[in-house]
Amino acid sequence: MTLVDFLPTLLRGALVTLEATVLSAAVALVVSVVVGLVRLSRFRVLRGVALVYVEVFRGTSALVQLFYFFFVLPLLGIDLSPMTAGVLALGLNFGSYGSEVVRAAVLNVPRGQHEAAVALNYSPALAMRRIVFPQALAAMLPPFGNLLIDLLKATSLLSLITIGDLTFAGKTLVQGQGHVTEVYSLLLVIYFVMALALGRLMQAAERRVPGAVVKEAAR
Amino acid sequence: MGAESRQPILSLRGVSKSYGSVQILREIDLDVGAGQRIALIGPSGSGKTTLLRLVMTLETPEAGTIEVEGELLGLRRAGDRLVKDRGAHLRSVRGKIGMVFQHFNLFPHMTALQNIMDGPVHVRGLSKEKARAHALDLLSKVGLRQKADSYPRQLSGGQQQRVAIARALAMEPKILLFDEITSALDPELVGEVLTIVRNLANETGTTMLIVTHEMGFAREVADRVLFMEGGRIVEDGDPEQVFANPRSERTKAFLGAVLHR
Amino acid sequence: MSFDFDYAWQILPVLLQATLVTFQATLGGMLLALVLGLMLELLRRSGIPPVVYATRGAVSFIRGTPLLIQLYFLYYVLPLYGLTLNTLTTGILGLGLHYGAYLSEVYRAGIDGVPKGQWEAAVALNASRFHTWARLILPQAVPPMLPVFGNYLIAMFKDTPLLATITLLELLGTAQAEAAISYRYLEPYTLVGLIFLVLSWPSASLVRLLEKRINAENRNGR
Repeated sequence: MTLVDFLPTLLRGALVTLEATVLSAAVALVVSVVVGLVRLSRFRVLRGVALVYVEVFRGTSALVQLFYFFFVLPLLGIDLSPMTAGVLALGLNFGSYGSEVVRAAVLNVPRGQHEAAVALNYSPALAMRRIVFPQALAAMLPPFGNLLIDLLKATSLLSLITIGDLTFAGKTLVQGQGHVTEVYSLLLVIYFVMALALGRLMQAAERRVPGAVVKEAAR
Repeated sequence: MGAESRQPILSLRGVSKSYGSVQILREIDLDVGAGQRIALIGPSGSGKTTLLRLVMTLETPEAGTIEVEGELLGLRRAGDRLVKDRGAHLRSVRGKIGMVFQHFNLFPHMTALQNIMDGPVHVRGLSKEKARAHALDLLSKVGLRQKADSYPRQLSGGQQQRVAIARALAMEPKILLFDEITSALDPELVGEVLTIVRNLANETGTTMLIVTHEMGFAREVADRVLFMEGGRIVEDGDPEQVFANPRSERTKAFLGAVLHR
Repeated sequence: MSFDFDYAWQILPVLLQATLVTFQATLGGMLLALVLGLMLELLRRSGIPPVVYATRGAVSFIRGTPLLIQLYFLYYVLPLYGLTLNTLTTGILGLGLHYGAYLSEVYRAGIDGVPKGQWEAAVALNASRFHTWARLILPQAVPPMLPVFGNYLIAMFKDTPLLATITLLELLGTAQAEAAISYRYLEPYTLVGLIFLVLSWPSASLVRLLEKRINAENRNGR
């Protein structure tokens, strides 16, 4: 077998990798915004809960969280498919990092903007929705872009909970066909190409948002 | 002048404020009549800006109360105590007050027109068409109709401040606060902004509180001048009296230093 | 399914011992990464085009590919070319290479952060290359880098479970082994999670404190 013969299997795995990345990213995005804003809430209890969530998911390893969702949750009565468990675990993990990005971006909006909103009699919720968050968005995109690429790489861990992603496909090929060097090299290259493509995509997205600082240097 | 027979539009009683160990305002008592144009002058740190910020509810007084048309501002009665006011009730009182800032604080992600329209549409619930027409009208009044679709970063400081004034006016406040609105401007841009305020004073009946270093302007536009120092109102009278014949020694000293540069 | 505290208490010593292996991997990996990172950054600044491009390419490639695959590569491919290392060494090598690429960027930012005037002063003082770097530039570049290094250390610590996939018996690997024998997953994995949390939460807080202090010192003039 040659490199070319490996490609179909690997590319099928790559599709699963992309699917997992997109799904996890969606979960992470929602979690980031919700938790990030809750961390800035007036209510101390809500802020506390959000803080605990962030520290727990940032403070423990992603792989440990994956194993927990895959092995332990079923024992507690929560039966999820491997993909669901994996997407949830990665989404919650990256959501905790993303929530810090949201929080920092919102806090970085100049105080004058909040004061102008008060002077114009905006309610706090309206001020956040129309004035503060749109401005924070521009600052959030570059770090989110980096997190997305990290998420892509993290999906490789899903192979360890039986998900047929690119890494899983590679491992299976090696176990069946050998050619260790070629297969693992191909894996690295395919991930690299995907990461580069994702990076370009994020740069294009950043250009669309008014006020965003677009980093031209490739990662 | 008949103001005593009507309720003051704005009333401060025993208002105090400190930052850490520094006492900025000491038991301020002040009654502002509807339609008055008050200039607030005094050295830095005298509490002029803090007073404005307290009226705009950007800060909370440590002691004392503020009333707008007889209603408590930022506070409400809970039994026999006074607690912080929030939500719709706070906004129903606060909505009568508007403010123009030293650093403009325009919304950078919106055009000049959008800056002016956003409040009326989303806070006051006006239709987009009505708000747009009103906003364009205000832009014309401040001489910037042609800049409606420009973003703040494309405007000069003076232009941004004029848009900021239009934005404040769009909410139709009864009391307008001006916090050193020309201090951050290049000298050649100051005149265009002061003209707008002068026109405002002449054409509307809005109550105005103006913190300023521009003494000539204060003398011209105001019908009442307050000199503040060390957190207290040291002098309170009409412009002629305060500028020409100040009663207090400290007022004399300040004016002497400021007017003969 | 309820938590079997007796079982948990029983396996705790084994897990704590495995934590030592985790520490070894983390420290070894961090030391290697610190050295490699600096070397990579100095190579990137060398001004020799092929070296610069190769370095930038390598850094970009390592940062753009998963640590897991890099570990597999080192573990499975190196022996084929005659280099067989034990699992801990392979793990340290993998972590060191991966994080070395990230740390090279930290060095870059830190060195770029030193004001241009300092370089000019070095020229004016006729300082040697070594003296310039060792006594003038690095002492100023390093303090702001410390919190960032701290965060990467904590990140590396949390990445050590990946070494279980190349059969290193660190914390997660040991828990897996225990679970395989007892068929109980709840206690081992919960304990692993708790041990990580107990070690990394305070560490992260310490790093934040360090960051605040260094920023405060910067504001007071260096």
